[in-house]
Amino acid sequence: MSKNQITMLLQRLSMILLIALLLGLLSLASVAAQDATDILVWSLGYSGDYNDTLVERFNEAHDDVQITYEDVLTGTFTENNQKVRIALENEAGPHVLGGVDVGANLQALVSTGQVRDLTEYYRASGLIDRIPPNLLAQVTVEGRIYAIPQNMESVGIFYNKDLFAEMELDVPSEWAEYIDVLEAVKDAGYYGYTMGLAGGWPSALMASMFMYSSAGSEYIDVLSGTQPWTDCDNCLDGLNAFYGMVENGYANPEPLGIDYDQSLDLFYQGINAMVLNGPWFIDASVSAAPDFEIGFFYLPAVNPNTDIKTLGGIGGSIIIAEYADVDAAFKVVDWLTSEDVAVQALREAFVLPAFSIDVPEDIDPLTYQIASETAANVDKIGFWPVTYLPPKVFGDMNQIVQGMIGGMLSPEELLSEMQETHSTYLAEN
Amino acid sequence: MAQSFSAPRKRAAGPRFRIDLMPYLFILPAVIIYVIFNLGPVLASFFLSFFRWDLLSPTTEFIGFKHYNFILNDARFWNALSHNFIFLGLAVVIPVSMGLFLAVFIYEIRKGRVFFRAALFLPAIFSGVVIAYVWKWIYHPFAGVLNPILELVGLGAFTQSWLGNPKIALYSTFIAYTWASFGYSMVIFLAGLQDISTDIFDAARVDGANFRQKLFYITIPCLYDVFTFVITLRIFTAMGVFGVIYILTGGGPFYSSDVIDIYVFRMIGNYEMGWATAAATVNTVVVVFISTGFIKWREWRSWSS
Repeated sequence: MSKNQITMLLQRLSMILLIALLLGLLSLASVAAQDATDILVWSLGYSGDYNDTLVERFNEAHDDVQITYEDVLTGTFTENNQKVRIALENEAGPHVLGGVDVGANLQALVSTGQVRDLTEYYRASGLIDRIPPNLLAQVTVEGRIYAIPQNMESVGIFYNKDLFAEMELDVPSEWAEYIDVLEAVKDAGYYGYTMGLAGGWPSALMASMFMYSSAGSEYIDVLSGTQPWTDCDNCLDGLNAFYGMVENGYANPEPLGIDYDQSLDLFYQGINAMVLNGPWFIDASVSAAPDFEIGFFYLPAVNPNTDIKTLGGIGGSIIIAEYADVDAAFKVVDWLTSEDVAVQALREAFVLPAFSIDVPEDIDPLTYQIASETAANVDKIGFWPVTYLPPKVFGDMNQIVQGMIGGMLSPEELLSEMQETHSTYLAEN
Repeated sequence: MAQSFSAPRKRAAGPRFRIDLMPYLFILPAVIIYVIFNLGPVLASFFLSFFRWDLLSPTTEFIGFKHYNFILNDARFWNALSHNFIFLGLAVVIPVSMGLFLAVFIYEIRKGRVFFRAALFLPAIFSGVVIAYVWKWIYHPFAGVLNPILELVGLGAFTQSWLGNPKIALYSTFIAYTWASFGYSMVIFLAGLQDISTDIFDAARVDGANFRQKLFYITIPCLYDVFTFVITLRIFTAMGVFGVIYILTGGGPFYSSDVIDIYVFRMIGNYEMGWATAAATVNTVVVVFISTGFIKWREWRSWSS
């Protein structure tokens, strides 16, 4: 064998070895990738884009667990709830799911037996100390805890801070002071209360805000069907206060002639001085970029003795499917409920966590104010009515409230109409 | 060599039927598509109306006529149906007459016929959603153009909340519907006018007939079948009106512009598929009854005259 032949043979051998080495490395990598447990997620409890961001961050930070995100929950509130219920019932849904509505929806999910009991996890992880008892009660079914309150929402009044300063108005803390502010704003040629109810939305929520503000937890009994609407005198007081916004000229004219978005334009344009809204309004107002600063305060209670401060509650909670890999799923939950992720979400997506965190002072001032106020009043924030009212009754309530605002129904007749609608639905189902 | 003789085949007694399959084969694809996409869903919807089903659940519960009983006793269903009838009454008069008179106008003019035909037909080609949003801003109480125009022409007394006033919300949506639909009637009438022999109009002109006489004694009688078609079309669209009303008012305020399709849509949105299909079935029966009755009446009148 000549020297050249030996050299050629060695070259070929080294080439084969190199290829074999590369193949070996590739197969090792694929084995490693296969070792990572895949967790299917339909939502991490945030809007679509922010879900993507979080999934990317989680997958970068973890090798052993990887999240696969499917943007399935693109429908309405009811549609999404139905999709999740059916998927879990058939073991064909996500392993971990954020943004789940509590109340009747969570109870329905638990009843299928496909949602993991998290009671032991709460104790082991120390999460039990970070969530206020009233919120914990909302995710407890028959003494066991089935979800983790994830984000918190509370409704209040966003106001034109520049206008208030110009008119030397103080932020009201009592109902009488609020009426004084509305009078002053009206006298100055502005509208104090923003109302756009064409199309229905958000008539029922606005009316509910005032009924909560007067009846407190009694209103929850009404929503859950344990107390008749017509027996709730405090609800009637709340409705009268709500109708007073229109009757006394505090609200913009033609509330039934413009829709919700059109009514917000009145606030952005500086025609209306205040708007009742939730934390999601921060994002919307940043996009609208009005030429004045926006402040926030809670609507003062119509009835000062009420035990509930405002409408809102748990905006979404995290559940784990019974069929999920427990260790991997808990890893995702640990990460989602970590202080770092919560602060990032507050800073980047204006989402307030439902578990205690140190609210950083260097965030957007309006976000800071709402986050601090919500944290301070977390035990006095009520429920979203739609978590208790069947969707059909809630939809009808939007139209019935329009009837009162349009002068076709008195507040008493509204309660009677709601009683009939609600009881008919319950009897039929 | 043995010969075999077979008896001549006996002809069957009576008339002989021969079925030519070829025409049926030609229409078969259309029939299959019709059955799958039209008849099938209608029958499935009717079948579904006897069950309680939330659309996603794998199980259903047979409840017989319970949904029909509920709907027929539901004041909101009758309220919505009555609004459909109001819409129907207006739709067979206003967009149809507008279409007829504009068709006659375009037919009569010599210059600019193509322009007017295109301009007047233009709203009909827009999507219903676009039209609804345009009218939503026209009616806007603060930024809309309708109220300022009324004030400009001295009709300030008529300015109001066009969509917020429960007494007129339905009629406001009807104006938007008319704007979107008269163009269809116009082009159909125009096609019908072009089919009328010009000799008849020439003869009438020689006899000294004026415009009104030509319209009522020649044009309208000659368009008899076209009227039947246009009005039938209006019956279908008025009884099935949805998009314009849904976007403009959502059926409100307080159900004052509610119609059956919005009632059905609300049920579907609530995942009450049985209720929704029962309501849709009742509406279908009403539409079939009205349209068939109308066509039969027209046929009878045509035959009797």
